Amino acid sequence: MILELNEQQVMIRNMVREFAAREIAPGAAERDRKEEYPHEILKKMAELGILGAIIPAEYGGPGLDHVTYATIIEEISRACASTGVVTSVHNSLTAWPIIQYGTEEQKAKYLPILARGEKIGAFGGTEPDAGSDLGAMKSTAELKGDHYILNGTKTFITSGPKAGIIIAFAVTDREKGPKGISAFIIESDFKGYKVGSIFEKIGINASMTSELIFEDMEVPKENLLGKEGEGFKIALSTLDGGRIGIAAQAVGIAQAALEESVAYSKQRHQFGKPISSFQAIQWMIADMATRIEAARFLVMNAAYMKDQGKRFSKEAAMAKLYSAQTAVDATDKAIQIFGGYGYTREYPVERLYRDARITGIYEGTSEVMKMVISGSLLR
Amino acid sequence: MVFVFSDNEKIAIEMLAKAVEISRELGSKPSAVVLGRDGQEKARKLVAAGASVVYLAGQDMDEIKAEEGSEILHSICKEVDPPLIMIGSTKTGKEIAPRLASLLDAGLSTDSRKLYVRDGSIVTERIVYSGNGVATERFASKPAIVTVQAKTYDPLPPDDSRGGEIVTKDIAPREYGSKILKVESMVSEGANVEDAQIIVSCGRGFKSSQDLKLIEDLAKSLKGYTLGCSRPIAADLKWLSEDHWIGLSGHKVKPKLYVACGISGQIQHVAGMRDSGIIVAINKDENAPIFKVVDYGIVGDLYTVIPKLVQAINEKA
Amino acid sequence: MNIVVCAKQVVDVGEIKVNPSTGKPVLEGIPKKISDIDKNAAEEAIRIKEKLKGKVTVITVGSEDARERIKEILAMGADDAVLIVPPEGADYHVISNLIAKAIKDMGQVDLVLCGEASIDMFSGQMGPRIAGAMDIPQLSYAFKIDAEAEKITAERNMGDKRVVSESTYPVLLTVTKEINVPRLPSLMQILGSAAKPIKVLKAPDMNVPDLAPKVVLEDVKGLAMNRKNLIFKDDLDQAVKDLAENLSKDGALG
Repeated sequence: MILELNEQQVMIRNMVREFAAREIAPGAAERDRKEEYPHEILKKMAELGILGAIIPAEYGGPGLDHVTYATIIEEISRACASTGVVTSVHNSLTAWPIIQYGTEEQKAKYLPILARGEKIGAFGGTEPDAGSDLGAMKSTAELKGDHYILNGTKTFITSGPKAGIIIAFAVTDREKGPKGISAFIIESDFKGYKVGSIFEKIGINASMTSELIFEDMEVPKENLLGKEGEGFKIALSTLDGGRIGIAAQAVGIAQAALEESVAYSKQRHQFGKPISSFQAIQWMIADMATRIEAARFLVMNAAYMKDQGKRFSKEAAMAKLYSAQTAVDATDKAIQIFGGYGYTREYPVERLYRDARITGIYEGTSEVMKMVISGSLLR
Repeated sequence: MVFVFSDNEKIAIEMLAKAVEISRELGSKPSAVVLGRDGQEKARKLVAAGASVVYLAGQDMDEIKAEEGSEILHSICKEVDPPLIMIGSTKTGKEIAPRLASLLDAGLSTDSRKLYVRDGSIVTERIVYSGNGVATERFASKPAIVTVQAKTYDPLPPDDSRGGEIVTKDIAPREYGSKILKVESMVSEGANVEDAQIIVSCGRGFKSSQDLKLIEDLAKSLKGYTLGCSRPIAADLKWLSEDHWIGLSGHKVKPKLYVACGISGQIQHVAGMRDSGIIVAINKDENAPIFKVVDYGIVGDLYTVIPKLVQAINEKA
Repeated sequence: MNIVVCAKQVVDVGEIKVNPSTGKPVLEGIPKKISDIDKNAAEEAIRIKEKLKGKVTVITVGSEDARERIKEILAMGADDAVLIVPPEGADYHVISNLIAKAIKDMGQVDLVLCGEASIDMFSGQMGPRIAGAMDIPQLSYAFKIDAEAEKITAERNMGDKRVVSESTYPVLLTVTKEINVPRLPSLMQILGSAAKPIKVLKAPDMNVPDLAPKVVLEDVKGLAMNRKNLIFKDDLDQAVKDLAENLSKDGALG
């Protein structure tokens, strides 16, 4: 396990931090309010190789390790959690399964497009009646000649209305249960692909979230990802990695809340003193900082295990569980420190508070994380 | 012979006061160099300001090019062998001085604010780390070279009866690959912050250029009509021309009263105004660094404070 | 076009704290970075290379740990770097002669770019000293540059004057912060910078005869600010009255 970034990782973090400060942070509040997808930012991120962070060099990306990747997701999310989740889904849930399970043809076709940001990635796993329980999936895929015909509805899809390449799952053999699920690489211009309703959410409002509807959608046979029946395995291993991204996003949100709180508490005066001189505030700040540090180490540990090719499901689950709790706790404390101002839209902490809440829900709820952790211990 | 040179006559005269003083300690004489046209007339003023000898050179030059200026000074120094050379810290002075130092294999300390002789060595002090420290530097070379900003020394009262020698040097510099194509005045609103006695300055705390009327009102009530600003206002937003810009890369000022409105007080700005008589700041952020360097401060929104302050001052006056 | 950029690793002056008991600035533990204006010079050098082709070499003088910072400029697009380790107590005289010698030893160099000054010391000596030591023309305080194959034109901020100068090559230019916004390197460039060569030169091996400083730094003290430091707040009506009263007493109201 490593606890310190090397010089190159520091350089990368500093670059992304500078980029986030210059390009992402300034419009974050406005994008949130207008529910405006960060198109232009994603384009610039692609130019700098941030958007396709984990895509290997031979496919046009920088091929970052997951420790560095988690670091940059944290930096992006510290400025804008919506941009953070879009980046995480683009990498962990779209590029990664193609890198890991794709054929050479699939990699050569799709990874450069993702690296250049010509199309944004999404992940179609969840269905209206199959969230944490992926095995209850209703979508079907039937092979007819050269094409699979997909039918079904996916929901809560991050970047849904904007995505161009989607990793989607459907049942190819109902008899086999979870082993009858298969994974597909979908393009948004396939016939029968439709964006369903777009959700109004509490937070991460600049990341658009929608349903995706497949109506007799024709998917070329060669777009099957992995083998028939491998879908469930692909989904689980992909989500393990995705959790590192979401955990890093949560740490970024919490870090932003801490920094805002430190600055505000030194500036805000009550009873003739800055509120930072009151123990009530000092203790909140100390708790926030300690939990954030611990959360960050859990994230780095999970990312390191993944880079080492070791099993990391439990570590990723711990990282996500704890980071999500930390983000919710830290943003809650931040609002408390800001008092009445924290409850207004004048100050940024209310957005952090709203953004934090989702991190304990998507890509596996906190309850599912506890199932994964306890499962690995009580097996 | 202690040597003084500046393309800015006022700084040359101010430096001569110090040269007169330090020459006594060094057992030397104060002298000056004038480059460019109208040398005779300038030389007489420098004699009146204390120079025993004034060298005139490069009398056909309209503009002083650093390469030529330093070559001419080098050539005079070779002959005169000064222990100390003082050069005015204008942009021209600052591009000549290091090149001259290089030609003479000499030490140079820029923007020297104190200069004295200790145990036979020339010692100088200058501000470093953007105003966080003062470095004391001792010269181990002859000559010692310093550059000096405007208003560092008070000039001697001019004495037209003072005698002094004016020597014309005929030094033709070599040919260089560079040439000056065009010289024009910087876009300027004619502000002269360096000579102003009262300056009211604005910074990022202002939301739009229209709001600068607030500091105009304040300046009027203070009976000083010189506006200053921090870097972003001149360099980035361009609400005021660069002749208003006060700071490390802008102008350095020394008014009797300096009022900073909506300026956070980055060290680069403070470096340009720290020698002011009385410093006042208005800022809504109580932790703004500007409050550490002021005589008086008001914590509050400048949009509220300034109109009230104008009224309070008008009532006093 | 062979271009050299001089870049200095400095402490981040914005992060310097003053020790309250000694009043001296504390430099230990302050993060280091490439001096801002040197990055502007590097950006300009890389733009010129992109226009006219050629090579950009970055030279820095400092301790071995400057190696990591200098990679930032390699990542931006410089091709290689030279790190000169100076003798103890080196001053501008020594350092400029070391740089000039390193440049001479590189063979044909057409253009040398420096920041107008470093943000820590703000002396502004290095550029003109190097030009003097190399005996080449200098155009200082450039805020706009137009480099062509045979000549270079610079618009220069000379205080109250804007001076347009041109020069043939070789020439040295110093630039101001206004000249550009330095680019952020891409992740691919950052990773690629690891493979770019950094040559380390030790001063005693460089055959520079005079390595004795001409200026000895004796001490850095804190800057005492003897100010009254009366801060008025909360009741703004009272605050402006108090301020006006004090200014009046000080005779500042004319």
